[in-house]
Amino acid sequence: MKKVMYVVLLFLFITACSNTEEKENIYSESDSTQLEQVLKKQESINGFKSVMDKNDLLVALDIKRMKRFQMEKITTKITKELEEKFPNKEVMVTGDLKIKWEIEKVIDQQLKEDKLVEAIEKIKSLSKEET
Amino acid sequence: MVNTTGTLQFMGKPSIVSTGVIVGPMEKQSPFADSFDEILPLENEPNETYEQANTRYIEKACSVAVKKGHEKLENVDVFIGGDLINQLSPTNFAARQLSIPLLGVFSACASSMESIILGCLLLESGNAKSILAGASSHHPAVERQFRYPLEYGAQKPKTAQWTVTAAGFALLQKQAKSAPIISHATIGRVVDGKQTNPLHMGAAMAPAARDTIERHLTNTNSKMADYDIIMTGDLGKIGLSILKEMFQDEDSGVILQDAGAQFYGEDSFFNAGASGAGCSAAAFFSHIYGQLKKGVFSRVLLVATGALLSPLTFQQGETIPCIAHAIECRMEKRG
Amino acid sequence: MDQKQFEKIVDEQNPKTPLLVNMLKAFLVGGIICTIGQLITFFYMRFFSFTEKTAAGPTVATMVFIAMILTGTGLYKKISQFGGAGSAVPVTGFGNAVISASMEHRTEGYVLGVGGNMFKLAGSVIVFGVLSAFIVALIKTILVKMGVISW
Repeated sequence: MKKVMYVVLLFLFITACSNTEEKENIYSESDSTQLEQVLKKQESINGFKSVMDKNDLLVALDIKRMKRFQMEKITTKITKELEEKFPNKEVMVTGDLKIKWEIEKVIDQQLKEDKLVEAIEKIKSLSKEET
Repeated sequence: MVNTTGTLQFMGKPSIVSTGVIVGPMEKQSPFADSFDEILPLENEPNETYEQANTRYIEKACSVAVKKGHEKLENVDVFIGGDLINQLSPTNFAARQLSIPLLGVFSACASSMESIILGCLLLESGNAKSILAGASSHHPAVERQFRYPLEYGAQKPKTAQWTVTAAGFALLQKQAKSAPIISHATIGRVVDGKQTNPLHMGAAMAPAARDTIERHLTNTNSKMADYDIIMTGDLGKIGLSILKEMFQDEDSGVILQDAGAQFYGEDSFFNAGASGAGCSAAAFFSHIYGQLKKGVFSRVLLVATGALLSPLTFQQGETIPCIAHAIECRMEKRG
Repeated sequence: MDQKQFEKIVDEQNPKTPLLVNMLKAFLVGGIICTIGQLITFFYMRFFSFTEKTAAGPTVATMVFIAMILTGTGLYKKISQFGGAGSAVPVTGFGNAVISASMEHRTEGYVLGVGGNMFKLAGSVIVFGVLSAFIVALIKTILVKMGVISW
């Protein structure tokens, strides 16, 4: 009987869940209001981080746990909507955690101009990797 | 009636002069440990395969048995042995070194008693004077052949048994002084209880044990109460309780016991207990033999049980037929 | 004694398997193994430039490596006796099957022994895994061609 109790207790402790809300963070340029408009009304994400440039728009989403199964669908939908709003920019939307971390790094470092373009190129090539 | 339907009576008093029982490190914790001749520290030496180690255990047990009987290996007429490995390789390779005429036998875990029965027949007919008979098994070698690789993480149920690493051999001669006599024997019949689970051998072997015990009692006009102990080889804890249930009209009580159930004591690591050709050989030739010699037991029935399955028949969906060979040992009281 | 009576006795004497406790134990062990896998993924993402997508490969390789160490030291079978399916289902269980078989057959040489026997247990996993992947892909291709679903 004791053994069963220990096992059940352990089981209860480990199945703890946490749900964090995130503060969004967008970097540079003035069109951030449009971006926020599109992204804030998405139900399936907890938050996002994004970097904007003259030519590029990178968005990393934090998708809700259960909605992660539809990650493909959600990212393509958001990409389409953003491409309508920003026709002259190259849009890349991803749910990948690593890309989010990289974008956070760029935001923290407050890069400008050339360095920013370099960083964005690096992030884009990272997300294209297959292995 | 004796000498019918497989029950034999030996008039020439074939006796167990001496025994040799060599076991491995896991068997150290057995309640029978004090009666074992030697407990080797390793199941196999570093440069040895498991099968070679099995061979070594057999050679050692035979040497010990012969030495304790004040005999020489050259004087032994016939060597009768069995084990669980394909083509009886360990017994064959041991016989190569022992250089005694060999009769290899296989009845799975009942091989020990089959060897003794054949030895008694040779002595009875006068065709031999000195016989070495017994059986052996080796845990890693058997697991490799019948079940999974040793390190594989398959969860074992409570009905599973642990194959012992042991070799037990007895030196048989006619009318030896102060030695237990084999008065009767019953050759087993293959009985199929329609069991299919190789991890629950106890249930498969119980019907065979029952058939042999019943035949022996009927043919020798005896009851269970006439014996000090009736010990089966390796039914295991659950197999023994099944056998006891099958004998519910008889008063089996304390008389009916199982070597496999007692072999490792109460340690639940070994689940239902011990099994293997070496289990019956080691327990019968050490503990029971000792009790007979001391006079604690005067009449015993030893029933070794074997499951006659192979890895192939199991995969082909066959049931597990079993067999049980029995010998009756008596210790005559000297004045 | 007829077969039916015998079967009844066997059923009565058989110890009951504690299903609920076994399931909890499997859940715990399986969960802990998968959590360790996730931590390894985070490790690869944090300290190397792997993305979520590309970190899967090195994670599996590391888990199999850990299974190898545990199998070789004889610890994996102890975990399995406790955890049952919880340790057999994750990739560490697959690793354990292949590694234990290779260890066992060293005595028969490397080519026929180890090479020939190492997939003794895991072989069917590979065969039926590839077969079902093929069939599923076939079904999906047909459905896409018929326009029922899209890629």
